[in-house]
Amino acid sequence: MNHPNTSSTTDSNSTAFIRKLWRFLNRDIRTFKWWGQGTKTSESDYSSLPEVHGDAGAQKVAEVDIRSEVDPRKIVSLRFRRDVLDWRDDFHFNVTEAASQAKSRLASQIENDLSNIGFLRNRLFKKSAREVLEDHIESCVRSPMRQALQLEQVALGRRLQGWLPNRHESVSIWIMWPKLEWDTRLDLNFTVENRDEILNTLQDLILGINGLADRHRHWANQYSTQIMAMRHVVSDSL
Amino acid sequence: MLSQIPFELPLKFLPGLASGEIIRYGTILKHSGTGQILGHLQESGVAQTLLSHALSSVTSVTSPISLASTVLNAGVSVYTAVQVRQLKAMMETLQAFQIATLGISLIGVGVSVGGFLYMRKRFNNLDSRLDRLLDTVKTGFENLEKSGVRQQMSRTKSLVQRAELARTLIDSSKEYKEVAAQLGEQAAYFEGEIVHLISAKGVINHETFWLLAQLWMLCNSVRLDCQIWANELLNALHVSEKIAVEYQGVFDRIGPTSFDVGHSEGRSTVRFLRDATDAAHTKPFLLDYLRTKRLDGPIYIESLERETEQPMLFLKIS
Repeated sequence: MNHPNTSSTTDSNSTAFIRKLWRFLNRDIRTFKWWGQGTKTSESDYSSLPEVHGDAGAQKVAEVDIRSEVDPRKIVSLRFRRDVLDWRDDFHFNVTEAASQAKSRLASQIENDLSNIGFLRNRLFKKSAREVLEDHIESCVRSPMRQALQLEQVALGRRLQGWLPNRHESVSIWIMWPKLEWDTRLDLNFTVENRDEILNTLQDLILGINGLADRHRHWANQYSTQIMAMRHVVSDSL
Repeated sequence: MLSQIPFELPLKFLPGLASGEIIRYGTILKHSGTGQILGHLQESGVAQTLLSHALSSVTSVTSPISLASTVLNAGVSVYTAVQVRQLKAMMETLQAFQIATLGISLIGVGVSVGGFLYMRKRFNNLDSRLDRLLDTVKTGFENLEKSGVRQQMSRTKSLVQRAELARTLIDSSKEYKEVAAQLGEQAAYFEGEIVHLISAKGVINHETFWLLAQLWMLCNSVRLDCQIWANELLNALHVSEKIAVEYQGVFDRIGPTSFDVGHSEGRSTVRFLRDATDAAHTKPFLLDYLRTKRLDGPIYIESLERETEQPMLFLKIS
């Protein structure tokens, strides 16, 4: 016997409909079939999948691709960065070594000059350290340092050739050369008595804080940071 | 299981590496022409066993410059002929791939250094060095609270021990996660000390820096291993990315002449730090591969531990 719809069955139907609608509205959008593969899915996303049991269920879960969270193109920029850092490290090492050797050469030149200094020059006709050291600084420090920097310039150009083909030729190492012999700390007489002071001053000027080597290292730090900031490196990744 | 994981021998890629057809970045090998990632270098349980014995007899390694030769020399005195052969073969492979120091450091090659026992031995080694350093070397620790450092060392030591024993617990995953979280805090402490050390005016005390750097890397290595054992690969991936960025931020500030030692030793230390940073940058790629291929973290590490012959493996991904 067919019973006409009572108000209670209508209520239960509408309640069921509302429940369905509520569940539908609360569904994770990624569980819809039409949602493409590009959707981010991770382990934690499994909680949003419909609960499934047994082999068929496991297979269904396995079919959901786990999206990769890494970008292989990143390796190109990391390699570029490493290459620039390697150049910077080599620059620090080589330039500091060159400055250290230059300082040793200059020190032995000074020792030699002081050991041969005559009485009159040491006592009466004294010359300033600046004046005496001018030529020595050029031959023992500035010239070899210039050569060392040229080598570093070539090394950087070679490294950049693969990464920045349009920029590697424009690489130039330019640093405002401090006029060592003009430093006020060398305003002292070139005499045997001032030997230690002269040598210590030159040690500071060449290898100390803000000295010749230090300035070069700072420059290399800044320059390498600028290079690393360049975005358009040649990619070897597909 | 080893059979499920496509491991190969890395030596077969050496000719390609020599010809320039293959390039290495961190622990990744990739094709230079196409840029395609070929796979990841990975050490196995054999490597850890060999290094564990060798390093336990070494107490004076104070810089990366002497690490490789010290390990080899120590190995000759403590191993059987077969093990010496294995150790030499492993060192040759590591040297051929130019990752020798990395391979025997606390960073390890690949995603996991695996054995917590090996890590604990390395940690004990560092612990004894720290005691000596705190008592004898003033420079670098002048501003550090000695008892504070010792306290942090003890805490880290106990966490490494907990990680070692976690496998025996019924709910080991929970323990691994907890240890990993706490090691994250320890790592932050050591990182802070390193930053403080290198920010100070003047040259950096090399011995102090090297010790703190190793402790920092040890914490991070064990932390990641714990996450892998807990099979939290997605989290491990994100943590490893963060670690790589931190290494870059701290180590990029250092150059070969930053230390109070000879420039050659400084250069070797800096080269190691760069390699460590590169390796850290490539770890997320390997973790991502395990994730996307649905390889379980514990199964992956167990398969490495089960390997009995080859110290170095290559996880082929394409």
